[in-house]
Amino acid sequence: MARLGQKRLIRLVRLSLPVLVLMVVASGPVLQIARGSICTISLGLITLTCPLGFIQTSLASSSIVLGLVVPTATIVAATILLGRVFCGWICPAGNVMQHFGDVGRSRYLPGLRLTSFFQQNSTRIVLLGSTLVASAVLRYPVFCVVCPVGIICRNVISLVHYGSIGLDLLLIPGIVALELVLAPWCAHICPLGTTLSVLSRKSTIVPVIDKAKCVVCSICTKVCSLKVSLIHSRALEDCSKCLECSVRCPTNAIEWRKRAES
Amino acid sequence: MNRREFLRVFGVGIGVIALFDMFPRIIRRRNLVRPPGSVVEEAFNAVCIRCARCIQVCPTGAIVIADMSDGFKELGTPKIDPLRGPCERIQGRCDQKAKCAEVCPTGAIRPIDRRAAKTGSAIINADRCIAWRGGSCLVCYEVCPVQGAISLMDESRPIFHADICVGCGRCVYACPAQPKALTLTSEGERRLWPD
Repeated sequence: MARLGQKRLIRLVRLSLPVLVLMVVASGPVLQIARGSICTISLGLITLTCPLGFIQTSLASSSIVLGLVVPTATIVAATILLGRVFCGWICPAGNVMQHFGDVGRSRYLPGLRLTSFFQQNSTRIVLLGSTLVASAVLRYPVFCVVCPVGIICRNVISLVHYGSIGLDLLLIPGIVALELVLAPWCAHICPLGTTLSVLSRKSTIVPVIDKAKCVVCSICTKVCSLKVSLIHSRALEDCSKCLECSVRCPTNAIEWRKRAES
Repeated sequence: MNRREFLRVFGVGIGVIALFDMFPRIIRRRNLVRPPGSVVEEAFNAVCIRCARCIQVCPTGAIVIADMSDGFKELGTPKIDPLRGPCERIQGRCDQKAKCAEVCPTGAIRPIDRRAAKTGSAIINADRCIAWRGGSCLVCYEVCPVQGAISLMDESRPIFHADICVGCGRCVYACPAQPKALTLTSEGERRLWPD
């Protein structure tokens, strides 16, 4: 019973935190809590910047965007420490993607995806690399323009400030559709997620299976939205610390440890 | 991933991006009017991280987010829409310093001398202008914050001087004609080169 309550609480927090963040973004200049969108947000004296945005704008302008160095370093440090926590708890697009993507795939379009190709780790690295090369060649941040996080934030801001939304919001269902055909967006395509994965190679806290308790039911692998395989300790850098595996594990075999001990 | 697969994905990706790159040239008729202190267009599109802060702080609501219809490269960047509000850096609610430039984290918009900023110029369509059609209207002349940008012919009909106009859009916002007799363009804009 206690575990059921815990499960509900974790889900509730995971669903409501992105909404809360969007509300903070929307109320920006009125409440003075935050300024800017998730791309670059100032909370009091702390400013945080999307690392992929920093790399892309720097490449596109062939210079280092000085104003973004410290805000990016803060996020990089946090990611090295905590891994892809952003993906599991803050990203407003993640919920949309995971819900519609997973439901749609399992219910309507099983087996249509080109998953085997996109599931390879090298594919998403190449996708990220291509984004960066394209930014440098075309001289604008290519991914920022279509980034679901950016699109959602910008549309929330425009809706609050002048009451209209842009056509770019149509890109979100477009990406969901793409995800149905190709592969899960968050785990295998999203260049921002890939950037954070690369940064969290050495992430300190990781889920580890207690072999004595584990019954090898593979539920942890099935429920993981980022397709981390705990049984094989594979792709641990992708873990978004969403805690879904721990609360779903029937034997309570998943522990959160510092990587050094594991 | 083998080489063939890699090249295929790469080719398709480049094709899609090239298509989107062509898109603005097909649909866009004229350049966007950017907030005061913006760096030159190429550098602006490169460095703007599209965080929409400038939109949040603009006291008149003049800055809006460029949409698909403004081009793919420009998507998410700020532009001035004088129909939503005028840029009041010269006179009015912006306290004579550009707030958008103060909050810009990337230096796409830079704090500059307000007199040096020329975001464009207003042009008049005399066929729609109330004064030019014989009515009595001096609204644009009265709201203009810049001496000499609008002069009056026969003390009634406005003439616009694009070289003096700073492109703030006050006249466009205030113009009572329906449809508006004035449009704000980026013609003659003076913008900074990044260092």
